[in-house]
Amino acid sequence: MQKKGMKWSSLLLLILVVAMIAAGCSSNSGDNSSNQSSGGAGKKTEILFWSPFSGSDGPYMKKIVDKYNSSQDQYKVNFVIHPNGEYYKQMDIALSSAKDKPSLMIMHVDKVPTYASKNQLQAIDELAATAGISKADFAVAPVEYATIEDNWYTIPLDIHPLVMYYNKDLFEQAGVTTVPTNRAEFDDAITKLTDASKGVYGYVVPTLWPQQFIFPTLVWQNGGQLWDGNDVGFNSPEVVEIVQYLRDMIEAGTSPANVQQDGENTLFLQGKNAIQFNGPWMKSQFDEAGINYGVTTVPQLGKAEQAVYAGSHGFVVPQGITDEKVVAGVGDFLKYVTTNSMDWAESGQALASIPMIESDAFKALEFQSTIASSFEYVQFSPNVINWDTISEPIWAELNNALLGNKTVQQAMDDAVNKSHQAMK
Amino acid sequence: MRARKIGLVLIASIIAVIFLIPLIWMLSTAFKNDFEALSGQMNLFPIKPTVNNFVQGIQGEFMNVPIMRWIANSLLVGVAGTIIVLFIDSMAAYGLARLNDLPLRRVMLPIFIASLMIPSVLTFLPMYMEFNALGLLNTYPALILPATAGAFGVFLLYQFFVSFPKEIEEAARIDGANKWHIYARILLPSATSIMVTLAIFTFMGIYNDFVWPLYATSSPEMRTITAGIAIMATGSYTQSYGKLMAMTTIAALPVIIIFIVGQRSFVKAITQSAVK
Amino acid sequence: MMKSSVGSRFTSFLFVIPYLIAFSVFLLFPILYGVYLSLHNFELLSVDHDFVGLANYIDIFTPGTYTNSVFFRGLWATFQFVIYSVPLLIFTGLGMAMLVNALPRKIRGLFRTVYFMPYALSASVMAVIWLMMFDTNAGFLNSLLQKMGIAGIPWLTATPWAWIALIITTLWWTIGFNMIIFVNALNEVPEDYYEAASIDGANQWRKFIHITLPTIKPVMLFVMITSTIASFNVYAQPFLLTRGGPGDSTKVLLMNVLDQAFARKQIGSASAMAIMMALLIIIVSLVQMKLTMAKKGDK
Repeated sequence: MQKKGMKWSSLLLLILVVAMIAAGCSSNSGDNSSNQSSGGAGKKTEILFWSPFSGSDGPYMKKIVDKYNSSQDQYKVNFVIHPNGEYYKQMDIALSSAKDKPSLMIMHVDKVPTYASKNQLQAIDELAATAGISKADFAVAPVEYATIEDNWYTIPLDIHPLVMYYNKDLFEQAGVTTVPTNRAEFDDAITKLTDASKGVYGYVVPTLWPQQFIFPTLVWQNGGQLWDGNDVGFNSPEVVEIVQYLRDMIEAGTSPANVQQDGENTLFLQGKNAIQFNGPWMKSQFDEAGINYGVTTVPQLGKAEQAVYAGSHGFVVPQGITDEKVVAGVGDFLKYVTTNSMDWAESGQALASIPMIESDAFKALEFQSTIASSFEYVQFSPNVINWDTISEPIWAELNNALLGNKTVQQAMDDAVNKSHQAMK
Repeated sequence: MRARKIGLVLIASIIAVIFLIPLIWMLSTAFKNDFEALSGQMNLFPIKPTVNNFVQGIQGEFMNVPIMRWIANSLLVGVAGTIIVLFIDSMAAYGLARLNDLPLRRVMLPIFIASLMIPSVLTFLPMYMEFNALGLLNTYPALILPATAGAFGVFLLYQFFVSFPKEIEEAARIDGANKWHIYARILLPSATSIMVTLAIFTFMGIYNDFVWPLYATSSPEMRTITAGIAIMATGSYTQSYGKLMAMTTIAALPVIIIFIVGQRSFVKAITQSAVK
Repeated sequence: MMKSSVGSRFTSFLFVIPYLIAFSVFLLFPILYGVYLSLHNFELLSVDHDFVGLANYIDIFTPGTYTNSVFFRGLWATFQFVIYSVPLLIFTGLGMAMLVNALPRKIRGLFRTVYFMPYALSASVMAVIWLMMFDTNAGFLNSLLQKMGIAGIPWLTATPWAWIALIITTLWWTIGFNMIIFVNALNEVPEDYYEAASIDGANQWRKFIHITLPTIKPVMLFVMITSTIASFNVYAQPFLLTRGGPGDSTKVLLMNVLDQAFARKQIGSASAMAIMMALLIIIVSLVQMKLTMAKKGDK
């Protein structure tokens, strides 16, 4: 009788022990981080560094971090990768709790106004000055964008504009010898490239991602505006015209209808899509697949001016990171990155640091240099607080318009109405 | 009559093939490179078979964490949660069913039973905020503890204990057994089959849960297999069917094997819970 | 009743305490806290969380607000899923159970295992497998159709195909569970009922209507309620397969609740939406229970 009781209670004890070990383990692995800085002599100051580089780009950043860690023995950067789709959700959690707060994070530049307005980011002017980093060291666009009320919030890492990939073999077969740079040339090219009998299309119009890059690009090129300072501009004639232009490609058969998420890329990989607009990060996938492809800047399909939408990764420091050693460490690491980020360029990204762009090593990279050539006309998302939330309805409505579920005008009107609701 | 039987077997076989195709295709695709997997060709046997997808997944090249870690996490939280549930539910059920001097008994029982009606969406956000406030997000307790609040097991065991013959309990009491002894030595051993039912259900519930671990974990090494695969599929690996299928194969094989081996008690578990 | 000592009552209470704590901390408290959240303007990254009374609820029911439109559009999508899926889940489950039961005894177990196997898979595994099956340009189904000379179907980008894809996925995944329950219920129908009916000259169909159905009615109720609740909570299938598209036509309520909480960071408003959704599920299952009980009473 006694024995049985023992058995149960010891089992209970075992569970408790297991649970405690489990909890202990996880919190150890979870916050190997910022607050351990004030350790004894000889102990390195640890810097928890968050990034969303969950694709093929992760190892390149890891290389930089590893090189930095072995280049000096004062600081240790702990590099953490979060899945990019989850990144900001995780960040919100980390920022709203004191625990597990990173000392340094990658943030897309267009998120900076929102997070700065919620008082979640530190101005880095002082940190940069101490570390010897100057605004002049970087491409103008991201620096200007992330300077809000004279406070500078982000050290830019890269700029990734939309680019055009094309299948060289298909171009050759169709007898298209020059790469299109404007609407007329583009229309001509995709008509020639389309071969319905083989199921080959000139340009497969995506209906979802990466429209987040394509749509703004085309709107600006056509003289439209996403945001006029007070209101969204999704249903202006310029926007409707350019969306109708995309829709017409589907009607004309130069693009298939009902393209699913990533369908344009599937067809590109299958050699059935001659052109796609996508981000620089696609490079490694095409290399791996062994496609004979070329890359160039996005042609001007709009009627007004050349423009291209871009994202930009930058380094930000969350509010509440005040430990002097940690802050100094962050500065030291950032200084290192601005002059030692060629490894990041290897991932296919064009760097934002001017010393790096002007280096011979970077100029030797044909792909990245091509991308950097569009830097003079890149634009980011409208510089407005909560842009993500305000603009969110457009993507489902654009999807409706391109799938033919609604007329373009109707879809764009609906998007504006929903955005108005979301702004309230 | 015979022709009818053959016809039925034929229909059943066709349905069975339809049910198996996705799993067969998963296996086949797992051995293709991503490019071949996306080619749209219907080769059941890969042209260039490769085990790279498995090797890379096991070495942790996709999400910086070996997939075995995710499976280990899932198993750990599943087992720990199940053990806790078996313990606390059986104790509570015993108290409610057999201990007449239990304070508030008449209040607690209906509340517990009514709580069976509560959909998980009601507790999801506040629980998330609660774990956040406790600093327990992204830890094992966050993956284990929420599953311990359900009243299903209490209810299941309560019904069994309530109908347990009084005479045996009385006899033991006369022999000097106290409440703990009666619980541990007499009632629990008699409830083995129901406990197995409860264990299977609890384990499956935790192991297969998907939305909660997706939100409650943030670092790659804390993911469960279900959350990890969902993140791969919505993130950078949307189109990497070869890699994805290797991961789903690794995730699915253990449960399918456990399922086939333990089918009998599993089926029994379901029918018991449904009808009783 | 015997009077018991304080000590004895305390010992008795000890048995319930562990579960009571779990229940209070992970069920009761979250419910109350959820109500609290829903009464506040609770934004994840803000410091101040003002009390706003019922404003979050009023928003849901005020036409023209953002919350109103996402709540009811999501609800409509969820309703559609429930309406399409529940009858199929019940009747296909019953049909397959009858099929399995009619098979020779030796091979019954084999087929039951095969039909039931997908149920063991987790939601994400099952959805990812079907994502590959349904891929418009590279998926198994469209490749097969093309081999047969039929144009590919836009499974994930056009209605009604998107719904059909979600229903097929759901059936494949969960039908085995309902089937098992029906198999068991069918086995418990007393054999002599059928024999008596046969003597009366009843055919198969009449036996099914007059004997089988009435006998398994309580089980049908159970299946109906569990299937309805499960369908109301649908998330993984649209989240991973259609991502709510085309447009937002398959964006179910749970997706909108979670978006409101995590993409828009409006925890308070999302809590109000969650509470309304929960109430709705509870009401629907109560009504189902009542209706079926009432019918039973009529007989």
